[in-house]
Amino acid sequence: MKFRLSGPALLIAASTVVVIAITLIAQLMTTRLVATAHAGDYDLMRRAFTGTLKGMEDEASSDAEIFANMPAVRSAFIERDRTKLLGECEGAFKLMEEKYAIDQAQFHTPPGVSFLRLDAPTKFGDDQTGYRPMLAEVHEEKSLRKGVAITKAGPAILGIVPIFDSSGALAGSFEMGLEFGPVLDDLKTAFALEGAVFFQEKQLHDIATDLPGDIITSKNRVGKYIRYHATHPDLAAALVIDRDIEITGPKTYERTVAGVPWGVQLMPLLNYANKQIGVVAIATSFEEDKTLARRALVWQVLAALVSVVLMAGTILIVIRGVIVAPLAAINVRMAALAAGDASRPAEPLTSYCEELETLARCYEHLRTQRRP
Amino acid sequence: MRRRRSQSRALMLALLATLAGLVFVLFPLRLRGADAAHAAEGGASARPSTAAARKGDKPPKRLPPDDAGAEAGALAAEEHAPAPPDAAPPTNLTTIPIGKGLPVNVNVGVFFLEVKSFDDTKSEFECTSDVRLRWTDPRLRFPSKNLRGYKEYRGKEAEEELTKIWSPTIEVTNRLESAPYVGRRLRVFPDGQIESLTRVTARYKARVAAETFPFDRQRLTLDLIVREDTTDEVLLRFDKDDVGFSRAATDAKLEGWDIGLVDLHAEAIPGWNGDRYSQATAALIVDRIWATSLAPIFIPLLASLIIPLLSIWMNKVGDNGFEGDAIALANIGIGGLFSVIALSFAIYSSYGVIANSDNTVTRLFGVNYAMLATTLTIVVVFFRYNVIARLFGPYVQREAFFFISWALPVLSLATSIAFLLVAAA
Repeated sequence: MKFRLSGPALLIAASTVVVIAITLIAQLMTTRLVATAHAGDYDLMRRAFTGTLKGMEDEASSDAEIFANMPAVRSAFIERDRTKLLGECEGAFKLMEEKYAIDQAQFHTPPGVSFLRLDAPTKFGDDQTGYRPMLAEVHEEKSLRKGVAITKAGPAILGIVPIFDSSGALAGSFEMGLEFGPVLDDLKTAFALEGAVFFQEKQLHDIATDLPGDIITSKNRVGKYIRYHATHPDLAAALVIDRDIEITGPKTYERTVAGVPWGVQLMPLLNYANKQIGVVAIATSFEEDKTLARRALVWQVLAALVSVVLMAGTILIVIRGVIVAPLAAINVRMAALAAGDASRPAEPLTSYCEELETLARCYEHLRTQRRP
Repeated sequence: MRRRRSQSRALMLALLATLAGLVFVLFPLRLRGADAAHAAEGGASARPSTAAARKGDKPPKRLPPDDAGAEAGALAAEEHAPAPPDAAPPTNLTTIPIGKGLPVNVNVGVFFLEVKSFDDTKSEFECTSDVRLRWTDPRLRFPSKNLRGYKEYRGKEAEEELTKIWSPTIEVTNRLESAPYVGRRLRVFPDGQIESLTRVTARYKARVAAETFPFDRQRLTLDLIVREDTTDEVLLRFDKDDVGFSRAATDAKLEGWDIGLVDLHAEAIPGWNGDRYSQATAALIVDRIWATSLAPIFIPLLASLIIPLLSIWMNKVGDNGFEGDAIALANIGIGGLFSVIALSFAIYSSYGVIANSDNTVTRLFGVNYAMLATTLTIVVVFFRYNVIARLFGPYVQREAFFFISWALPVLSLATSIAFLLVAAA
């Protein structure tokens, strides 16, 4: 074993391993930091959507309460005077429809039969209890209910309030439905989050028979769902594809579109009976985080390389320059002296470290003794 | 005598008859004039509002030329055919529409038809773009009769129509100059929705960020702002239709750049006294084709890194110390310094945008200067004055020289590559 080679090699290898280990740990910490930040982003997406949806549900409920408690409206409904009821409500509904994204408004008689649709006054008389558990429960429990549901006019955020006659008996109910689009549009405005909502195609086919024809199309079909609304349809089409959407619980993943990494949060959309009727996808760009993480990796690798090179240099200079090379020079001279050649003097003593100075001095002593 | 009397009587009678005739002629005329004057007085009192409006203390409201003309026409028409007393005054459509409440939401979309040029050294670009504005004015609702379902105006007709209705006053703040031709199209839908489309070819100021040059992504923006109305009155926004509309033409090309998506952004910017003004930005994202800058910039930059290394590689260590001439080796470094200065001058004069920022090129120049400084220090300290040998002996100096011979190129190359990777990350 030649110490000249193996000694520095061992030390350099050990140093390299240490540096690589430190770099890996640093990289692991960076990755975890980024993952934690992304987990926070996903959490924000979930909370932002849930909060906005709840706000819209409250808005639908309060609007329904105001409408249903107008004396003229109440009396017209209790009297079952459809024409009068329409006359009382039509103007206000059109105004709200234009200004506040009110999509649907409907009076029901027990147990859940449509009495008057303000958005489609000519369509009434259909019993909706079969596919609308929330409506059935309002009539059953005689209390306010709110949530997402699919109606004849399409999916909406609904608030349903019971209407009682003067004797306190249930006369029926009134519901207000808000469009789904503004929920996602608000999220985009407030948090720069892109969003899309998908509903089961079969339910849309079976229930939402008044939907415009351009919604249930092959272009909007994703698995068994139909993309009902998206803040950025092209992006949504690239971010959520058939294999992603079949979920029963929240799911997160990352996908790169046009060179930009996106974090996607999928959430099942449940109706009032906790039955899944759709999927909500919220996405945010991870480009900045990913770029910073990649840059951190480059700097960490460069720092590791510089460390290894500097440590290797230090080891080589110290081991070889201070110990091995001077020792080798003395060895050569000592061998020559042993062979009878006393002509080669040692290097000046300042060339050696203190430990080798004694050896050099001894060599010089022997050499002067042997010299003729 | 009798004859004279009869003549005088006849003359008197004639005079009386003349006077009576005059009275008959004159009296009815005076009576008719009095009636006419009375009738005029009675007419004025029957329409006090019109008279008051004409004699009123308040000056009439200043209207745009078309409206003023319309008002004059209305008054002229009134003179010929008086309006019934309870008729509504003509509606002024140039006021802000409050039928749907305030603020009026104005949806913005921008389509980039052609990007003619992008001069990143001057931070300017020229393009032809279609700016689409959509808002609702309930006063303009009409029953749909035609097949298209909307009224459409083009060119001058659209411009004339726009002067008759309210439209948002939007300024493109980064526009430097525009071509004289401006294409316009205006559509008015039965529900009162207005869609205004304006096609302009113009030069715009761009904010060029060269930190990641040559892997940089630039945003060619159109900054639209509403200056005359605060966010309480007019709000710029966009929805999924505007996102779909906002893109570059599929055949749009820009030499040296890859054209990407259009990013829409809306925000409120602060003004005086706590006012806020709505601003929308449509940014066409373009990615530099990095290979185009490889030959003129990065190959010379990386090659110039070799020059200072020659000062080390050209030397040799022997039994009696360094064999190379320190002055000659220093001259290599000095020559390298001048060549790097010349290269930086050439690059910065051609690519002004990278001269005044922290980017890959300036960092690589930094590596070059650092290497030159390091090698000149080595030449002076090691080769000329043998400081290491004097302090630690010839063996340490030899090993240090061998170490520097490979470590410096490795470190400089690794640093250069790291700078490139960081930019590309």
